[in-house]
Amino acid sequence: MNELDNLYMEIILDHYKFPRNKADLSHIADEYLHENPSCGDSLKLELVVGGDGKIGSVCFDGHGCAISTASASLMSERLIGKTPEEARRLIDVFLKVLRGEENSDSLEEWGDLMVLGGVTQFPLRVKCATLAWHAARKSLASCTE
Amino acid sequence: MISGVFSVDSKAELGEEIREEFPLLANNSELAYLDNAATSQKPESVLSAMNRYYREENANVHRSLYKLAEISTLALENSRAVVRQYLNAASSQEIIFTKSSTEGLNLCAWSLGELLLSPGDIVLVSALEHHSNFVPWQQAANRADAKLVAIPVNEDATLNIDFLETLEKDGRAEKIRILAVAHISNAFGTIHPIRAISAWCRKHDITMVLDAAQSLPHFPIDVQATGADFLVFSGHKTYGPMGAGVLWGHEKWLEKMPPWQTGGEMISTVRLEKSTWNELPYKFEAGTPNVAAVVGLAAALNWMIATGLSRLETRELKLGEHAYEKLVSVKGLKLYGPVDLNQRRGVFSFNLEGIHSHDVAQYLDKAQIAIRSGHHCAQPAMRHLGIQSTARASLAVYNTIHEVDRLVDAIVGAREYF
Ligand SMILES: Cc1ncc(COP(=O)(O)O)c(C=O)c1O
Repeated sequence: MNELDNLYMEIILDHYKFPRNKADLSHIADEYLHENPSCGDSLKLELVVGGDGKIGSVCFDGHGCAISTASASLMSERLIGKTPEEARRLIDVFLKVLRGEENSDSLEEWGDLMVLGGVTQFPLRVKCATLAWHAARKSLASCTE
Repeated sequence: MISGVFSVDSKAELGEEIREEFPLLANNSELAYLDNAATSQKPESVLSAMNRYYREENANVHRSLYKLAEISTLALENSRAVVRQYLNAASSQEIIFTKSSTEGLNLCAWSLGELLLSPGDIVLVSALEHHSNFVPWQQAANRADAKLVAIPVNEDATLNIDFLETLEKDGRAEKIRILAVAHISNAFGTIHPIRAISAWCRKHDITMVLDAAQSLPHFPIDVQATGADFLVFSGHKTYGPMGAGVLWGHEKWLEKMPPWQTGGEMISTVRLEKSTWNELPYKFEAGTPNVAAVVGLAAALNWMIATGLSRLETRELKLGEHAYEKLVSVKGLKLYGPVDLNQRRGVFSFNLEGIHSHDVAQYLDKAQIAIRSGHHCAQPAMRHLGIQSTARASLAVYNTIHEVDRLVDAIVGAREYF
């Protein structure tokens, strides 16, 4: 089961079992659900930009597999403290890596998040790993500076 | 010729050697292919029939007078005759080749919708339908300013048939023009009481469309005995190739229905301002058909007949019983669908407590066990039952008791892993 361990790294399983920044977002209407149409996973995201122009909090809620939950959890940690512009750049790099358009070495300085680079070896799971990131990108697009 | 190893009347039980007739499986001895509700594997006789068609019989059909065109046309029409006989349809004119169940259902929804639906009418479906038998009706209803109503689902993934009485009492039954329902649910394996439903349709003068995509692979169907007006199935789920499916419809309806797609083959005369339509079934077969796939579909039905329909069913029932008993005994596993084995077939949808179905499926993949995970194109059903997704193992005749045991062992392994 070695190859499997490359996907389900300890960090991923840890974030799956103990997701960070997961909160009850039932106050957000269902029309703001971000869905992965191929599997039915869905996620809500709340991203708050503070007075200092930086992202103060990122919360998510929803149903997902280990990969999508861990990815959302890891992402939330990463985006907090960034400006929307910085966050957008990070998201673009991440999506490029997961699409295979950029080498996963680009994630090397991303700390724990690097483990998600392993998902590229499981093409059918890429959608799981990117759900939260697409959601964040949408939220940021609607937040004008 | 069909290369059946067994004769039809053979009483001997079908054994695991049946797996060897499927090249993909014979070449992957470790693969436990348990995603048969998505598509089945194909026996050698199907592959060779298609191969032979392209090597020896390929020409366009119904158009030219040379010998090869005649042979190709014959290959198509002989396949139609095989399907007619298999379904016990009244005539070959009632057999329309499509690319799949989805296409057959879209044809019905567009053409029957145009013929029958007026503002304020109702189309009745069930909340358990595959999106293919749901979205086309939703759209047809929208086009006609009619309403889509869904029969609700019980906790055990059976249909709440009492709802039909409600529809009678509140007067809505009188507005229903079309009822579209699956024979077997692809998400949960529930067998729906289609005879009772068709009798009810008769009573209220409702046209019934039966989605047999998940039932035809498991047992033969006499379309005239179903009481339905239309039936669809997909060749690729029935040991045949992708790219060929069937729509059977009552001639009385097909005659009245407007064509869905237009173009070559389906016309009689074409003038600048107006065209007239070819006779049945060609009115509904616009353009060059996928003859090789149709030939493969007929070869698949012939393969089932040659192997023995009751032997196929007996073997599958045994596998199903074994799978059911094993799965319900796994700690932390929730198996969906009816408890009564007579009310279900082929499909085992489940979840492991606290583990997402994707992760279960990924774990099983490493053990060379292929199952599906997700919503199975049945989001309304999932929503009804309050679940996001399930893992789904689905059986075909070439599966083995050992494969089922491997499935269960790997599920237990997944439970420990996550
Ligand atoms: C019940 C049911 N209806 C319709 C379909 C659609 O079949 P196809 O994709 O072959 O058109 C499926 C396939 O999964 C099915 O299970």
